[in-house]
Amino acid sequence: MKRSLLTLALAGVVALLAAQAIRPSLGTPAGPQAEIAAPPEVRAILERRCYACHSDTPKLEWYDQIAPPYWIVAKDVRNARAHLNFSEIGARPAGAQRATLFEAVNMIQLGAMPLPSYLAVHRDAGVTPAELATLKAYLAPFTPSTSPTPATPPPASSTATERPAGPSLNGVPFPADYKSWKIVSTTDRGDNHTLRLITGNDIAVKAIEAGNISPWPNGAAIAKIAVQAVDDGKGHITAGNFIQVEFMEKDAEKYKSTQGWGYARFRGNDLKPYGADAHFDQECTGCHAPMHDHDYVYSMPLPRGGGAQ
Amino acid sequence: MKLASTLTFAATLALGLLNGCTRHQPPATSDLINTDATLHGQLPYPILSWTPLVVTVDRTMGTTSTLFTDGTSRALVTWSQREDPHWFGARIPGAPQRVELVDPTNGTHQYRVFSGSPLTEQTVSGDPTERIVAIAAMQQIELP
Ligand code: HEC
Repeated sequence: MKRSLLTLALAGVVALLAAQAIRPSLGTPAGPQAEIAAPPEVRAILERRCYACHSDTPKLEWYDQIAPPYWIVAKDVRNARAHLNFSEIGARPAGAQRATLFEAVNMIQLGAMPLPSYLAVHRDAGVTPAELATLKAYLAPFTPSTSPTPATPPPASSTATERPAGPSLNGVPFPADYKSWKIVSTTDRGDNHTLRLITGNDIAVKAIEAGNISPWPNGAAIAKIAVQAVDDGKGHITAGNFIQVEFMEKDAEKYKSTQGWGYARFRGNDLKPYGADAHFDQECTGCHAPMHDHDYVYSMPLPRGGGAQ
Repeated sequence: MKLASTLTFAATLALGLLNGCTRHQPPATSDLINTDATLHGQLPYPILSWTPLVVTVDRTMGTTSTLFTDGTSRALVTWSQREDPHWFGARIPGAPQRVELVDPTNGTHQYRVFSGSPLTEQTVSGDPTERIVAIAAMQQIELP
């Protein structure tokens, strides 16, 4: 009895030692180094809290170096850099870098970053409220503009097409009747100077009326219509050119692999389907993941029914 | 490598479970539905079931308005803005401020306004022409 326990313990130690030999790589830098363009106080926070995974200089604690924890960390780093690498993002346009920082702040605020599984082990690695405030103060999305938005000419193909150039690359259908959908909410997006009208089909509207949106019923569909926010320089903001319309169509079975929702985006007046291939929607699910408690929907619908209009 | 991924999976699962215990509180209703923005009161029409045409914002007043139509009348609903609790960088409707109705076919009642909480019809003081013209002039979003 005692002997077999000893053998087992010994086998365990041997297995652990052997495991150290299996060292999956952290991945190699994909592109040239170009650190994110941001002031030093912002860079310092990203370096402290995020560069461990999202940079060309991943930083592992000594206890992360031991397998099997090492395997988890290596996988996270590879995955993290594939999604976002602060050491290479500096090569992208300023607007894109800024959009990434907004996404970063929102992931932090929603408790999605740094990864909760990482924070469970690295207790002091989380972003502090003061650090979050510094990031927000830098981004300052609603800084009043003192000059009017420069006039942009209407898009070249100004003849409305009524129909997209093609289906969404992941097969989600374009809902031909979306122009008759009812309001769900609106948003004023200071982060990217757009106004958004969010609408829903009949099933979505009935679900809101019944308070039955956790989860949303199959067949519910939500549209997010984005237009340029045109500022007259005196604080009056009106809707400019149409930018894009995005859809989420609920079907728990059919769209099982993408959070139970079919995601689609059509851009410009010719409603060009977004993305390079059928997997463009990984971008959508990545951003919506922190809202898993809300059936992956960010919007809070305006109340309907129950005495309300 | 197979062993590595199996163990990685097991460890991730264990950590996930550990986390799961501390998380997973169902969200409050006020975090699912924007109850702050409820149009309480007696409005003559179900305006939120009309067709939404366009959205505007007034930075100075801190308000956002949405224009609706039922085909004949227009309704302009104005809310105070609130920060979007789910997205830093976004503002959404907060408490309702006012509902203005323009019905060109309604003789002397071409312009009506509702405000307060609950929303109650106000007697229109002064000449509403300016408001009628402004609301009639609002351009709807040109949807492809
Ligand atoms: C322990 C490693 C780790 C740390 C530390 C970490 N992340 Fe991540 N991050 C990931 C992984 C892994 C992903 C990929 C998401 C997935 O697969 O679910 C990711 C994804 C993201 C994304 C989504 C990118 C996209 O385009 O899909 C953002 C934004 C992000 N992280 C921001 C941050 C910020 C900001 C910090 C620091 C405050 C941070 N992360 C710290 C591992 C990490």
